[in-house]
Amino acid sequence: MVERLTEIIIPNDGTPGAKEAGVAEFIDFMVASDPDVQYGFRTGLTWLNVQSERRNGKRFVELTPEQQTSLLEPLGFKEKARLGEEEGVRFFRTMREYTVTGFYTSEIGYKELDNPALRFYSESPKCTHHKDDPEHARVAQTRA
Amino acid sequence: MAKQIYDVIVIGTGAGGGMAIKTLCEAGLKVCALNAGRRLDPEKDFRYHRMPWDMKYRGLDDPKLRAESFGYMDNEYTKAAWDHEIPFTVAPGTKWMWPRCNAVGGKTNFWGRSSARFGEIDLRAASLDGYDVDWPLTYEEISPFYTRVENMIGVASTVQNRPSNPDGSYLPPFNFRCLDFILEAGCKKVGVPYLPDRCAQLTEPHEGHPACHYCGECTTGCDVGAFFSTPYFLLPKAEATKNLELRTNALAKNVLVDENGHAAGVAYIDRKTKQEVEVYGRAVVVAASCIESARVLLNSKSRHWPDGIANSSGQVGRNLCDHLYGESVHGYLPQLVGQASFPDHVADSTIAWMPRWQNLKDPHEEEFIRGYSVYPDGGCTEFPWFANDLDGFGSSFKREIKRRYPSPVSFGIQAPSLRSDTNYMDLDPELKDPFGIPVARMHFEWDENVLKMWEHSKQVCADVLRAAGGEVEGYGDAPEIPGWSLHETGTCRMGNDPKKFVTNRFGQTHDVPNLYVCDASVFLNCTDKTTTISILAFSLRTSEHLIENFRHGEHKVS
Repeated sequence: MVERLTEIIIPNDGTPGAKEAGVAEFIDFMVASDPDVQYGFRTGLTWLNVQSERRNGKRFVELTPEQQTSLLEPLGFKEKARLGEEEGVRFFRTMREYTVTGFYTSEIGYKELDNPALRFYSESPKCTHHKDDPEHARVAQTRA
Repeated sequence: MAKQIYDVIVIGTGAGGGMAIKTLCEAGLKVCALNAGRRLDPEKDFRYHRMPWDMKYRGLDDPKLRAESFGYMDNEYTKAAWDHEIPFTVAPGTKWMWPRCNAVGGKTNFWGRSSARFGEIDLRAASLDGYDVDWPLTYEEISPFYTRVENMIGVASTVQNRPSNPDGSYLPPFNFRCLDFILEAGCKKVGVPYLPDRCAQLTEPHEGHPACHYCGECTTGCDVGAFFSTPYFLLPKAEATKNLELRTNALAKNVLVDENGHAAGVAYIDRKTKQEVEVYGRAVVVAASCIESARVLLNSKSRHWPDGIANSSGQVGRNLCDHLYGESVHGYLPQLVGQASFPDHVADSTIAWMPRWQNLKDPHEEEFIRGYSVYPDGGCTEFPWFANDLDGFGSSFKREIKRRYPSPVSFGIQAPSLRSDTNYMDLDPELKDPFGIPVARMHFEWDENVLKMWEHSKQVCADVLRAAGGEVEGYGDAPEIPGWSLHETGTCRMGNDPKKFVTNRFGQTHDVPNLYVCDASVFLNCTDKTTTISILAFSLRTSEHLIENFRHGEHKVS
């Protein structure tokens, strides 16, 4: 269930997503090492399954991808939020934070962003635009 | 066997102690240096040049350890270096975060490297605005020491002709990145300066040290010594003289005194055997960092010094100042959204700064006195922190993180607290550390003046970001809690009046002529500048004064 959630949050959509990056495994490990967050995760997953049973008569992992997404949209998108689902919003926010952390600290996540960490240079990297470049000229015009 | 007597015992090997050790050893004095922690082995203890997925917790460290961590530098990359064994306490109402690196070299192993000189406007601040007292020396007097330190350690910057920031001797500056040019344009419109920071990171080879390779991992330690730290820059020079004996895991307990109440040596705890050991010297230099130095002095009680050695003024531990840190404003630059990623992080946050621009012409032009500086930061950092503030999930979320990755900016304030009678440290009357030494107890709150600076910075930084075409996304809710900056000053202030100050204008204690203080505890306040380069300059001056005193026969040579 955790793996499915991470995959929905950061999908494979042409570039690899959270599933390929093994984010669920990372979350398992971090939560197992942190007694303070375990209760929140357990009750959050339960909350989601209860909602799923109530609306669709099935557990979350048994739903179609479309059903899963529509269950999560009110939790993840502010404008779709529903009254009474505050606990789910909080849980989904935590799940999203852990997914973002796991994904963007993985090798796949670094490639996704073309993260420039740990490259070596002989000179401090500088802005490649000419000083009269439209890129910077545009800046000056933005708020005259 | 006659007991060995060194010329000088130095407590601490950070910026202040390291400079004292090098200077004294090169002058031919026999030095025994005590360091509370061990010597780091860069190969084993520094986990630089590692990707997060090479680390067990992705660099975040074990959540259980993180819960008791002392700040942003205390992480999985550097955890070998930080001390979690020696506790401290806080008085009711005080919050205090106190990261202590007791490894050899102290915090210079990982420091922020910003290296601005104090100016006349700082040393004579009291004459200008009427608050507190002036420093007991002029800028002209300390300036040559700054020049020598800059030449020793290498500082990258430019000549800037700012009234609050005297210029020095500099290596070529860092190049500006896109975000610097954009923010510079914004600053110009608002009328605040945006300039290359003074950064002790080598932009070219310097004094036998290689140039920086811009990997961006400075705060996890440097494998080639391309920025100043005492283990790379000062201790090898001291060791080459053969005049240095460095004792590690030697936790200073108290200064020993002779029958006249003068310093005779230091008692320390060997952390491996837990035994107390005494080492003797003709002079003692205390350089254990601001609060630890005061703790050692206060713990040095004897029949001569019932309130702690060199404390007849009652001022040891008092007058504690610290830098208020915090993220005043964060947001992003739409101009950079969707651009290719760029190595913006190569010097952490010290490529550019907005040096103090307030109260320069008239000390009372603002609602607060003195002034603060701002460090802008942003661009492609190692981790997209902004992602947690975005809405939604799925492909749109993933795409938006990638688009926004080069664009975030934030402004970090560095603002000095004012000296006050209610900000100080003393010894906890009950709690002792595992070695039986009474621990420090902190009494500290941000004052009204510094909180006004904090509010002011939010306004100005938001103006700058908007004028640069950027979007403001949030203001800092509250500044970091005190201690976070690692810039505490003032527990052994220097001054001419022995009734009001702990040391004289040279860092020599008024009460005990062969006891010296060589760290930020002698500073009268913390100004808007960082402390390290000033600790180095003042320590160099104090050390040479000590050497002069040896030459004059005030402390006899071995």
